Amino acid sequence: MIIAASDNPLRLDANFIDFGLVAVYFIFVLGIGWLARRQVSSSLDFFLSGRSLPAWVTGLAFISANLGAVEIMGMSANGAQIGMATMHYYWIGAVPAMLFLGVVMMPFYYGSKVRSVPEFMRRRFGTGAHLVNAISFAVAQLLIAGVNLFLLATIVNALLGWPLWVSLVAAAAVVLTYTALGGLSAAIYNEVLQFFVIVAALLPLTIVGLNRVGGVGGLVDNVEESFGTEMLSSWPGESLTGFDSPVWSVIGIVFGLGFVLSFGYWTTNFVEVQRAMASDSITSARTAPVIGSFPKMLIPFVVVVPGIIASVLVPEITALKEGQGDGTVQYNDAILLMIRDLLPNGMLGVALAGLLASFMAGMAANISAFNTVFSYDIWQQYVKKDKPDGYYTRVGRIATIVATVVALFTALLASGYTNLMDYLQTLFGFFNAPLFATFILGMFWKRMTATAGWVGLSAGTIGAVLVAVLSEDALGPLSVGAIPLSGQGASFVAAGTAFVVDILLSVLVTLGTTPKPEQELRGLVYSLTPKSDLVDVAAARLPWWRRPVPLASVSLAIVVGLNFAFL
Amino acid sequence: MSDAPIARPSRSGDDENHTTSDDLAPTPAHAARAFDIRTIIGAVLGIYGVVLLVMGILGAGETAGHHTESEVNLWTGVALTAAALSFLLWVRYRPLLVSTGAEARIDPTD
Repeated sequence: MIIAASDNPLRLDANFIDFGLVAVYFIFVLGIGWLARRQVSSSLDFFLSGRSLPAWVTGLAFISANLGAVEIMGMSANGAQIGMATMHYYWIGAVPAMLFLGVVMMPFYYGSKVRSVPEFMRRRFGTGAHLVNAISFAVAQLLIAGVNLFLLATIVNALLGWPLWVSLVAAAAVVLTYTALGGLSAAIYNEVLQFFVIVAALLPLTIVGLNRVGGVGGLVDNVEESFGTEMLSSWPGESLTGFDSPVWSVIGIVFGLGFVLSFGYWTTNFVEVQRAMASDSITSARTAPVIGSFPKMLIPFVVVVPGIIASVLVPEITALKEGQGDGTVQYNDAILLMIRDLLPNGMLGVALAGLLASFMAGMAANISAFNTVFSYDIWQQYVKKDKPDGYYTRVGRIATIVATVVALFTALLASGYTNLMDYLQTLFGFFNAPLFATFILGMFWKRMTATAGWVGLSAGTIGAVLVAVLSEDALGPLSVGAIPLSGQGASFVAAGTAFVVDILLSVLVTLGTTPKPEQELRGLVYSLTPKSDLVDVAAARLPWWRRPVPLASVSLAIVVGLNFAFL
Repeated sequence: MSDAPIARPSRSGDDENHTTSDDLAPTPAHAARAFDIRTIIGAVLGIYGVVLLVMGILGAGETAGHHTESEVNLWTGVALTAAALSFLLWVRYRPLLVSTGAEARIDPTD
């Protein structure tokens, strides 16, 4: 992707102060791991922070775990390439699903005292669906951790000229050290810290960038003059979906991205849900994703907007957009070129620390979710069942080491893929879209059977893979091009297919099989769970801004407003 | 040894914070306070803020051609220092309450 050469266009002019600021960050990162280790006295401490964290910490970790390399580089790349339509990934593709998780689904996850999302699956549907879910999740985490690691190494190589293997091994060692020492607490605390450092780097970058192009008005004029008005309107977003028809484009965004893909990702992905589960009460757990939704809707202003600024301010990106790129620079480099052009020494160090932090936090999030699912859902469930608690903490630490080594090799594998966004979206489509269908049906329909659980899940996943294979490019060289869909549009349709196939088969199979006895479903199914299990009685006395439902209503109103403001 | 990188910056960055930890709570809570994530965020942002502030001030006089560049450092430095102070004030006025069980785990002499 990026060639090591002294005349690399991305090379930064970093000096000892910049490196000093990066070093300070690393000392704190490792220090957090060391301190968090002292709080680990049981496996629940290691894997779920002992369910002891306040809502604002888990809420920030909730979005920070997703604010990794792929997010920042990929979304600013989308900003440079397609413009304001990228906002849909946040306002349509994240916030509504986060609110739904907090308001509707979290009570089941937290109230049933399960330790992971696959464990919920096992209690609701038995071991068939559980195995499919646990193994596919674990494998996906290793893949994504590898992608994060690979990106980090290529970026460090481009920015600072260090050989790939040096940054691969160094970053893996840092992540390994703090996650193996402090478990989820270390990962979460570092995610919260990373959030603030990232904002400290990206907010000044955006302001300086806006300043250079003559403010918001100057940006609008420049972009319209160079690339037309389409880049500045978020709807109907044909540039995002790749659909020709504006009507289908809107339907694709609302149902494909906004419903199937995003609900699948945000409500069932254990990387995210694990953060909320580490909260200190059911009210905190429900409030965490709601609190996270506020920064989530504002993040694109410091991620996507710099990408748009780059399209008119950075000559290499402008050339790329006009079809005159010389191949040395890609859209993914947009934010890096902005940093190169706009930030002086000093701020450069903060930006470097923020970037490295986001790469590492992304990888640590995957690894800490992996080791929990591996230890509780695979090892404890199927390999060694009745060992003392400390044994599973050790298993978790060993799993962390193995996962890091596997991620190192995955990183080498990932170098074959160029469009990381498509690649990851495709993965989510395969694993998450049918999951959401199965979960939501299982939570609200007590009759749904165990067989329906695993049949629906497998069939949905196969359906998504099939669509991806038949599309033009969703799976790269594996796609045969039988149906005229490409890019994000293909991902939306694949995820939609998974959802529909899952629901249909689940209903059909349920009607022909015997449901689980009702007493086993308490806490797992809405109609069989007493209301007192799902809410915290003390919560009614809290002020409105600490209760999940009123806060979620405010968030929803703001996000609807944002959609209209940037129509 | 491990406490040093966490606790030291918050003391040098904000003297008030150091003294209050003894005023508001008995000594065991002080150990817990060192691992309050807000203190850590305050410390990191504080260090970054002060470094950028100094660079901004020093750079402003030197290179007239890069006037905007040192302004970036200066204003970011001001903002980060302010953010750091608000985190440390938050810790001061809403200290972390730690149960005795947690103290016992944090306190051991290693």
